[in-house]
Amino acid sequence: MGEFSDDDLDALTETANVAMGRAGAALHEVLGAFVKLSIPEVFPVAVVDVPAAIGKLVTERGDVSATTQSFSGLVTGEVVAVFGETPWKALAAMIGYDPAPGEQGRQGFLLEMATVLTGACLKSLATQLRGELFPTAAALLCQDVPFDRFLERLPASKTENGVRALVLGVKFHVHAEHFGCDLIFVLAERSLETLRSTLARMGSNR
Amino acid sequence: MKVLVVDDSRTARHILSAALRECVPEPLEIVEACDGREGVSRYLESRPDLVFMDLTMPVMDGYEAVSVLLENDPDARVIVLSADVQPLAKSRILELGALVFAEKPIEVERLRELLEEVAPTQKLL
Repeated sequence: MGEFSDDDLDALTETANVAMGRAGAALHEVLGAFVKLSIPEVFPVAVVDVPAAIGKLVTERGDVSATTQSFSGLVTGEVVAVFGETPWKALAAMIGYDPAPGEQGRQGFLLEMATVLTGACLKSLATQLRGELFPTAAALLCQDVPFDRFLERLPASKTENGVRALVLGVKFHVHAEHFGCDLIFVLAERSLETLRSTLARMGSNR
Repeated sequence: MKVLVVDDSRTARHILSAALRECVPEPLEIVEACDGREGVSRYLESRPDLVFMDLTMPVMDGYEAVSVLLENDPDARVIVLSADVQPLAKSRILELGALVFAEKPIEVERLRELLEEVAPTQKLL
């Protein structure tokens, strides 16, 4: 794998910025409230360090719930959406979501939110990279677990050092509703060369 | 024409600068800044004819930068280019006094339209 230059990472950060903007707008459309976006963070890491890198990107340090989703196509990877202690019933009411009672309802709500954010992000990434990306259905990784246990739930790679991945993270926050979500993309090593050459092609077309 | 481009992304500044060179007749001078605070400082130093401002930036975001710019120079002409395409982001920044809000990524044709939108009254082209 060729290394990512500072220019590659900057181009990817801007690409992620546009994608996260579309995801924020999708969340705004669903919730009807202003969504504050962070500046995306993009960096390469060794695959064995991915769980630690995800841990550093997550804002919440109390109990968290998380979903995971894979995607394939032009590039391949995983998305992890991490939620703090969400006032989910109030949010569900805001969007007219009729939840099942109890835990099942909460899980359905989290999966719904993750799907909205991830779907909008992937759609924008695909458009910008001039390719196609196909997400799988979101699945619950954990619910209301202490932060340390969340980290333990992240799939650990047994791959030896040297294999790399690319991590992209952004935070969404709805101030009025105390709703926050960290959305973190992990791109597999086999996708990095494709991504790098796509960015280079986009750069030369600019 | 002198243009100030304020964006924390080198890529975004590069794309916009290249597009401006296609749309704006010479002489064109482009001044760059990588956050809102530097943008305000560059504006006061160079007094550009037009400012392109991002919204989500470190140090000082675009909302604050536009407010500070217009406090210092009520005639400052600011076009906002942002990935944050929520209607409230647009209405907030227009209320603060930006002339136009446009979505990133900007294409050359859209930039030409933006410049034409502000040109008749602003004498930019």
